[in-house]
Amino acid sequence: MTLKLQVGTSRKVATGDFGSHGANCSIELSLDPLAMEQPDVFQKRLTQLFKTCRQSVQDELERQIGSDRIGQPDRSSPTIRIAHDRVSQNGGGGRRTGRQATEKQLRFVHRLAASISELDDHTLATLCERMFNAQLDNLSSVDASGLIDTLRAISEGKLTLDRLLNRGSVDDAQ
Amino acid sequence: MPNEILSRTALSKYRGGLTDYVSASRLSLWLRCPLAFKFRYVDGIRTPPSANLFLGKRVHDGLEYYYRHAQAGVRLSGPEVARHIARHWEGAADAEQIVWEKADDSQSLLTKCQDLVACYLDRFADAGEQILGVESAMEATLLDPVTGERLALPMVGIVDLLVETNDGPILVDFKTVGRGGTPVAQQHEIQLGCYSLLFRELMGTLESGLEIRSLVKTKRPKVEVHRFEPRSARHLARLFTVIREYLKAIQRGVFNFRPGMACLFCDVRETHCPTWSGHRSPIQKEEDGIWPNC
Repeated sequence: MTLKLQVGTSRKVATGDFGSHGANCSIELSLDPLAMEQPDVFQKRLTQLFKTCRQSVQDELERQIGSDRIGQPDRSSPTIRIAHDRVSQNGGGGRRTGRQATEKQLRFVHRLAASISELDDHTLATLCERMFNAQLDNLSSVDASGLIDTLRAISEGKLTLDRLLNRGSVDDAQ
Repeated sequence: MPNEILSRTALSKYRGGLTDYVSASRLSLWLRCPLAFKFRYVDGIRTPPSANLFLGKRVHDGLEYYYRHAQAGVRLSGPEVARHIARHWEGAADAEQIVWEKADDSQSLLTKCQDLVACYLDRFADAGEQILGVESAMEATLLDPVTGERLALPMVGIVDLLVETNDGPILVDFKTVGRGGTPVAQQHEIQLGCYSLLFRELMGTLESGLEIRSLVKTKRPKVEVHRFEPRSARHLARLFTVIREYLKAIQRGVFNFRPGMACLFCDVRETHCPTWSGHRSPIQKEEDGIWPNC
């Protein structure tokens, strides 16, 4: 039997233009259960791991802020994942990496979109960008689920595309 | 699970079988009363929601409407959200088969709903929160954090709101409650633990905290925010202990009643509960043949 240990930290720093830079780092380890029998050593090791995470996040933030370039490819080692995220500057949706949307979800998005007359590919892309700060193909599973619910609500008349895209001041469908 | 959960709507409509998945609401009901759990999830007995439960659902709908727009960068006014609630009120009541006791009950509850949401927006509309997800449907494999063992069933759940903060993401759950006050730590432990598990698996990162935002139905509505620390290894180990016990009970078909305070709010208290004679269920008898020592 092995123990699974996960430590991580994340940080986000606001920028002057209502956006932000953010980074998070998590480390996952498999441990021998005997490790728990030396609590002092275990605690020390845990503290070290958190320190490593915090330092990696700090380094990453400094790199981002220094170069002001976000979303560089992940060059971390296999056991350390650093996720880059960018928060929208439109005051709306944020962005955080996660499990990718499944093909089935994306197919369903296209099927729903096709049933909404005013929703062409360009408008769908705009909606994705506004809500998730991402292109359709880059949505996470959680994003895709949110998009599906939004499209369903549009097709059921509970939401209107114009209002979501801030193109009109009218309420949702009467 | 036979069907992939594509979205919240799909999950709400999908009445999965007992052995299809684990969820916070299933665990919570089973913990509260295994017999009430059996009536609902084994026998499939559904009762129309009470007026209070209906109110809670409509409050959720109003907040969902607000936050879906907020996620797209559109800030709705309070009156606009109030009009949305009013517009969908009767249709939702019909769909839920709500029977109003008095003629003006519907209108007074609608007003209460609008007041609660307005009170919430007074507090949060200017908060400038970065929205990561609204009513996010999640599904995750259950991996025991202590043993690393993969359990047979996945977990599913819907997290009301995911918000980015300077310290990292927080998971928010809305509750419409009769009275305010600080909840004890264990009160929401199962639900928060489930949400944390789902979030970590799907997003590959830890939450920085969890929040219960309570909309309190006092004469003058108020909003209380209760913040909880990220779930610790101990929290998750406790949750998995409960899940294992739950799975064992499902397998054996043992659903005893658990009389107590919760009976006061139970839908089947007067209808189905009194019919239970305490005899073992057919499922349990069958299991006893397989597991003679149980």
